[in-house]
Amino acid sequence: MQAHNFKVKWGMVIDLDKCTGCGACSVACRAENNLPPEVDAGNKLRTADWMNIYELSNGKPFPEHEVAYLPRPCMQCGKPSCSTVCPVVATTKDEEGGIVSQVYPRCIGCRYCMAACPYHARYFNWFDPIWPEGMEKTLTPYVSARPRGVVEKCTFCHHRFNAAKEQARINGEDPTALPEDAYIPACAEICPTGAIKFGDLNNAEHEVSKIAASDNAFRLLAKLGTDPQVYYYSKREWVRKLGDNYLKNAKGEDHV
Amino acid sequence: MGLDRRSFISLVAGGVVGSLCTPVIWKTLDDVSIWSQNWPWIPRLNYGEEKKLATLCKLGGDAYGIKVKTVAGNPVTAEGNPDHPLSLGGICPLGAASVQMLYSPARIKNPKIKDGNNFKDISWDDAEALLAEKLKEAGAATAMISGDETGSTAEILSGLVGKLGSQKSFFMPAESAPAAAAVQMLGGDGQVGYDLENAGYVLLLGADALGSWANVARNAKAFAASRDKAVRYVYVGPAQNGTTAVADAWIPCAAGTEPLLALGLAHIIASGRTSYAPGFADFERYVQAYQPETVAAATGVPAERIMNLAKELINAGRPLVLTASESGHGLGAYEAAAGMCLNMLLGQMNAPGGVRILPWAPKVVESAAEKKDLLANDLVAYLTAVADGQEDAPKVLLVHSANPAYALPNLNKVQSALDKAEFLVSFSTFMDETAVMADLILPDSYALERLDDSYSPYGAPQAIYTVAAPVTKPIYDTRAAGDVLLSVAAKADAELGFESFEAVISAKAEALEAEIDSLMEGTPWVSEEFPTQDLAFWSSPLKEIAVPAGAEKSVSLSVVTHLKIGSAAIATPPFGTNAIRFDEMKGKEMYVQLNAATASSLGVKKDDRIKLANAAGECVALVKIFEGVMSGTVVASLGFGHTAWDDFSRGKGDNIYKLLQAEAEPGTGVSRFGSAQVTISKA
Amino acid sequence: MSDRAYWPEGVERCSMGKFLAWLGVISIFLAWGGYGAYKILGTGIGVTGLDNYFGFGLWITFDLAVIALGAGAFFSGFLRYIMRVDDLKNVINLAVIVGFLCYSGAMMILVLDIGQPLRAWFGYWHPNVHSMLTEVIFCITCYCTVLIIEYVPLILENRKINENRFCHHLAHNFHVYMPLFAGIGTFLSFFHQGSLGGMYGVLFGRPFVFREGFFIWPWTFFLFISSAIACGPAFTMLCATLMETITGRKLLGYETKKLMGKISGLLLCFYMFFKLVDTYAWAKGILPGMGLTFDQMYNSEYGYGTIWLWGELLIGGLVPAVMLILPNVRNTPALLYTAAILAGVGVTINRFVFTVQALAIPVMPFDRWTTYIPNWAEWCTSLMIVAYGFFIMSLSYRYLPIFPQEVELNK
Repeated sequence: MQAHNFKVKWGMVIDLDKCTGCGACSVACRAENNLPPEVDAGNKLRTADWMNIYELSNGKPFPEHEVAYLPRPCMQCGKPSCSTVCPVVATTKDEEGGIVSQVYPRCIGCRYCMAACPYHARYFNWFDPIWPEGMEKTLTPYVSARPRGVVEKCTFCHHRFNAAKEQARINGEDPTALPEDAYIPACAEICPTGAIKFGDLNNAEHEVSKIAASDNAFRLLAKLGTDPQVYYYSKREWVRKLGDNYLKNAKGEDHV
Repeated sequence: MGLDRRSFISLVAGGVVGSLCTPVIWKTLDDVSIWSQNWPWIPRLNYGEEKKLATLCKLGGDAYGIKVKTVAGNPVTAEGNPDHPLSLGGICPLGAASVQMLYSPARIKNPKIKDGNNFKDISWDDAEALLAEKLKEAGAATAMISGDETGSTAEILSGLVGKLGSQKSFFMPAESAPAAAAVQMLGGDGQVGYDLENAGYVLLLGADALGSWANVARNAKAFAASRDKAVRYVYVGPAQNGTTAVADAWIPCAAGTEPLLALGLAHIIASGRTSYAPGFADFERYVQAYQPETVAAATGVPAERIMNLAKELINAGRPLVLTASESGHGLGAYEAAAGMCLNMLLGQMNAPGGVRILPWAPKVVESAAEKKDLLANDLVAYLTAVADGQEDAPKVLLVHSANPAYALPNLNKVQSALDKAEFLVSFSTFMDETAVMADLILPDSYALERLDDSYSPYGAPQAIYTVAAPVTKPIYDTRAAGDVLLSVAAKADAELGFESFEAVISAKAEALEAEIDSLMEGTPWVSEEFPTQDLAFWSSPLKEIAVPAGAEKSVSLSVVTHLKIGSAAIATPPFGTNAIRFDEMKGKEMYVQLNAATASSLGVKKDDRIKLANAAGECVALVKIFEGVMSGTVVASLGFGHTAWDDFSRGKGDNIYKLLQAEAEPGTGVSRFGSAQVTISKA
Repeated sequence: MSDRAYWPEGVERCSMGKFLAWLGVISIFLAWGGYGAYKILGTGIGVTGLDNYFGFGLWITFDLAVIALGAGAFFSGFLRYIMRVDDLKNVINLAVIVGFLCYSGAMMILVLDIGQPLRAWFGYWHPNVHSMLTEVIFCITCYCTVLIIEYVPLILENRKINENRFCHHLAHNFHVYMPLFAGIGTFLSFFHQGSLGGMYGVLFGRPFVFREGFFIWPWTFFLFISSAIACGPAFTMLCATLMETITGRKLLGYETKKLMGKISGLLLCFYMFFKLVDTYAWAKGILPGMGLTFDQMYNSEYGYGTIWLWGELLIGGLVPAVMLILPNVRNTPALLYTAAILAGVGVTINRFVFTVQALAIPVMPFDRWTTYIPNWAEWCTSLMIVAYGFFIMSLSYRYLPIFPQEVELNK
């Protein structure tokens, strides 16, 4: 399937030099997108964390050790490994803006997309969701609750995109040319240090497109050809190097 | 006419073929996608008008403004409040998860009275009458504990206790008390704040500023802004954390020895300078004892690095030194003063970009203790004395916004002291460890359900008064503790002079000359006035800070707080469990961190189950090998090991407070418990 | 009471009581699996050992393995009806039943495996033509239908049923058109064995399985076809031998068995050649291109050591390939069977590593290795399918004339 060329390409840049790994983004994501609270979140291979935070290490022993945190939303790949393999067109990348969709009532739960995604950005509903009594009243009106048996993932808070377009129409503005702050996902909005930036990667005016062009910007597993729309930024070389796999040369250093 | 076999078959076959030609079957099949998405047990969404209402988050150690989004009147999500000076749009993980706490399974839904080992329901009228009776009987043998330093409810509580003739008003231990004590030692008088926004260089001596220390949301904003201004953030502490992940440098320093490093730095900075504030000469002589080599030996920070750090501080414009215990409490007064005197030396006391000394909050309940005195009252010392029989047990002990049965050092003694209290009253919103022990529970409405206020939490750079109107009506049969206390006071013939909590807030606003209406709408009152101070170097007699001596074969325990796991007042919220990473908790067991060298010297390896033990108690945990920890140190997080609350936190991990042992700081007598020594063995 | 009248003509079967006892033992597994299926369908796939890292596990491995092993059906049919290898007539009925059992069993597992079984038919309703899995859904369901069509005339051959004129003629007509169905079946089966391989080969986010290829098909497409047709005949032959062991009767002439072994041997040699080339090209080309090395693909600490690779390529690949092409080996029954078993093990390991190990390998450098252990719910349902196979095969053996040589061989 040919990758679409979109006029607008929503993208995220996460400044890892500002991320403290506090977890506020993943909590906010949970609330915004109606993920149920998980009583037993002890097995991280079973929990659904659309915004998952990884701890990065430079791999050196104390005291040379350094640590960084990397929040991982869905990469909204330009060339998604997931949507092409879905047998029932339940996940597509065909809407202006380049967000990879996930259609819950269509998904048959085969989990092929999960096998395809090297970022582990996709989550399966192993059981029906359970909210403690009354807590279902805190559900937001934006994202329907998912039953068991379907796959879900981060959508860059797509409902906020829709709302922003709607607002633009009401204001008599062009919904295809939203200003930089008209549409921001919950994680980017809540990040206490402002590490998560959001905007149109195709728009040179938007901060994200400027940062994405920096030498310190990188994308996860770019060598695989997934062409993610999520960029990371760090001035630390070891952090950037952890974004992809590099062969070692004879001296044991990374090949460039 | 009969139906023969042939025409029957034709009918059936024709019927099947015919109905296949109608949309009935196909439509029904296609609808599968709809009803397999909407089973009756999958909750529906509620739609309605959306609003964003300003309120306060006091779930961590801080008290700052947040905004809660409501849909058709139901709170749904929380976010930072850009208009509040302590949020600036930022929020902490507990704040982000605060809305769902409304429906936490741990909520106490109505007043309860102890009935054997269980509780039975009691009406509000009966409960208030009973408490009034008990208070009348107890009189001066009443005591109170509050975990909320900033709100007026604590003032009412203290006022009630005072009216009954008791001085036993206590706050839970926090950073504010040692900081205030330190400022007093320097001759100052007021609440301590830090002008992080205008600092040119930030030295964090154990203060996990971006993780849990003081005004986390606003610290994060200040940090983010500093990135464009070449302001250096240097973290000093035994282990890497969220703050070091982004700080410009990490200087490994043995757990609990940061104040020694401060004195070492003070020595270098002081020598070579001549005139300073009063007492400088004495002070300079005093810090002679902290030669770089001496400090290096105690802290593990190489002497050269100490010299360089001192140089950086001297050369930086507007440096700010923030001293704390990594765990967020348990710092001694001298220890806080050691850090504070660095700010003094650097000319950063009561200066922009430095330490700000704010006026104390106005007191409106006459019989309440002064905030200054409240901070000075040492809860740990008191409860320990009660447990040891050196002090009479209170007849009535009122506990508000605090969970002493879980979150204090000397935990065994604390629990036995709470047990000794004749009538323990909990105003907890949630069934916490203290509420479980209580004789009477008068459940406070949840933060979003009640009127609340806050005057400048510790660290706030200026005097700020915030009032939070209720976001929603109480969901259960709960009442705001402030109102209940005023009503009980009246019944106990201990009138405090106010009809309602709202009246107290109005009085406070009046005392501050603040506009009550705009406060109620969520606009905080902010003052940029700072009382003049006559500062001098350590007006109190100087005492040496002893180097903590480890027992044979023990390792230093560095205690940390992660807000996503919980705070001293709040257990892991329902929306917090997922943010705990796989290497922080496995199943129901928690991890502690050791570096590989320490682990191998102890003969333990990754994922081993180990026992951490000392004289105070013992805890069980799994080993995470993390090279961001100093050798000879084990890092453990508070917030685990709850025995009450709900399934989201109960029985997960172990409570590190069990390992914390308070010792009286020589000279001040302040309970010190920031770090500990433990032995480690396989469990 | 005896059901002798229903037995095929001229053969002996065990007593009804013994037969019922045998079915009873099988039914224990059916019941256990049924309980597991009930829990899975009733509460969710969460009762299994699968997780978000291992979306595929024992079930998919089991499916791919039985489908590969069941390839004897289409390939024997292809050789018998299209290539006119007449000697295979002795085994073609068995091959059809084994194939039918493998495919229908696999489909039952798939019903459990997908999270929304009620939407299983969406593959037809909302097909994504770019997905290899759509191709699999199409081919597997169509081919299962073909297998049913091939199985029906066998049922009609039952002595009592065949007495009915209509059934007799129907069976006859089916037989006449069998080459057509064999042809369709071959086409479908070729494609879906391939698309099963293609399913993995296209996963460019999974370095362990990703392959370059020809046109839209990655090399795994062709490798899966060739490994399946190589192992299928050997497996069918093993099934016959197993039935002989259980029943104590001679069912299939050894000449036919040797022929099946020879077919398997030749195809296995063909497959192994390309598999080794493919493995080399993968290790030296694809992996370095992704910045990875061969060593990074294996981790014995988590249960995914190179032992699987050598088990697959040597023990389950080269060894049986060489054994089966040697006439001396084929002439010794014990060695022939051993080689056939090894070939089956080899292809099963292949399907296992493609399904499970591929998912265990961390692709992001900061990710971690994880281990997957199937739990009772997956085992019992998989065993249920095996039991289902035994059940149907037992009935078929007792009442249908599957083995044309049986009467003669047991004289």
